[in-house]
Amino acid sequence: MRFFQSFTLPNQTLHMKRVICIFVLLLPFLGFSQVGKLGRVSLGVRSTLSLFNHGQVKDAGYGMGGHFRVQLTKRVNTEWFADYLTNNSGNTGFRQDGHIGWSVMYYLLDPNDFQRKFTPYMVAGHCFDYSKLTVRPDGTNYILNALPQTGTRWTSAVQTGLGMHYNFTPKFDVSFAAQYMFHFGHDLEIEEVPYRQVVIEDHDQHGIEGHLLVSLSANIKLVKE
Amino acid sequence: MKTRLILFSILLFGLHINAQEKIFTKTNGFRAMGTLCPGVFTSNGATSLYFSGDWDYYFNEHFSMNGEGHYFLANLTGNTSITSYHSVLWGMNYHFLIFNQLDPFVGMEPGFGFVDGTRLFGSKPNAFETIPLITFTVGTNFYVGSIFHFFIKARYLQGQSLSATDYHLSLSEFRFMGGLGWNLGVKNK
Repeated sequence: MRFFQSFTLPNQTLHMKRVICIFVLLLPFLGFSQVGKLGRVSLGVRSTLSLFNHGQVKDAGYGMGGHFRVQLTKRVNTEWFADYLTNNSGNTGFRQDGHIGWSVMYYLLDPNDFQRKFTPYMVAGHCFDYSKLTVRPDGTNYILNALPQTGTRWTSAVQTGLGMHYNFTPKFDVSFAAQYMFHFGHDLEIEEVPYRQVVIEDHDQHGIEGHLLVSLSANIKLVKE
Repeated sequence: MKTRLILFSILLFGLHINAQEKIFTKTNGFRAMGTLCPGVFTSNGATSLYFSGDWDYYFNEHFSMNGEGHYFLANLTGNTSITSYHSVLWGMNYHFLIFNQLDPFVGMEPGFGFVDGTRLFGSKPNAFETIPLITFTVGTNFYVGSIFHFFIKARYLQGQSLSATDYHLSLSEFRFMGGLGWNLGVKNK
């Protein structure tokens, strides 16, 4: 009920953003109308790169993770993933992030049972994000005060983007995907003045804060063809 | 003269192996190795030494699942503030040739690094950190029988230390290894 009430908020911009997000999430389900093989499962490992954290080009985050995919139709696949990333935060601290979530992939071209070498797709999904921000000790902040030096928070996020498989064989592919991840909820920041500490900030414009998540994965299909 | 004879013999030995037209099948085979592995950090040129081991299970002639561990032994040259840097990796390799003694491959193995360092500030127990690693590998095996093989391998690792030292530190590194490995189920057809 609370979810539906949120659509009555006077903030029309926020309302439009939510509608667009839901539309993007539902778009891949158009592919359900197509007949295809069901239940094809693949397992993959992935390396991730997190860019433009809070608009900053520097301080890229590196991560690793894994996922499995369950194909629903010829053109629709799902990906269930978990990632662990770390990144520097302006030399005053560092951030550790954990993502766990799912995405729906819609193949823009008929994958032809993955006989096609290059298979582009659009992807959209949802994830939960755990963040821990820690102030880097510099010899003063631990001595001068007892202010919070670490902060944690759970948020929800939606992600959308484009990707591509390169199918070495129908059973093995390397995939590259770039997705923008929009976070909803509180944010953690390091406040430097008057003393360095972690503060939890509540931004009005949810959805603007985010980062680009680039992933490279190797995948093998476990189901015997 | 003696050296030339030895070199000539080694060259002929290679031809002798090829003359047998061995056809190896690796499908459902397993290989493993353990060796010493030097590493070079690209940021400051420091070198380290690891004891490393890895294994592959071949799904078929082209693909294998792979796991690897590196136990940090020592900093060799270039003083880094990192006092230990163990790592565990797992992933997949793509093998270019099928039914062949020579087994060149490329792979990607994400993993974790376990880093400890020297810190002046903060509390020492918090210096230890677990970091994600992005790694790529290239190498080749050379199967000489159903029991063992030779191998060479180079690996690039990308990671960063955030709390093991007082500073943000890049841990991008090349590691090299080679030697004798063991295999099971790799058959000479």
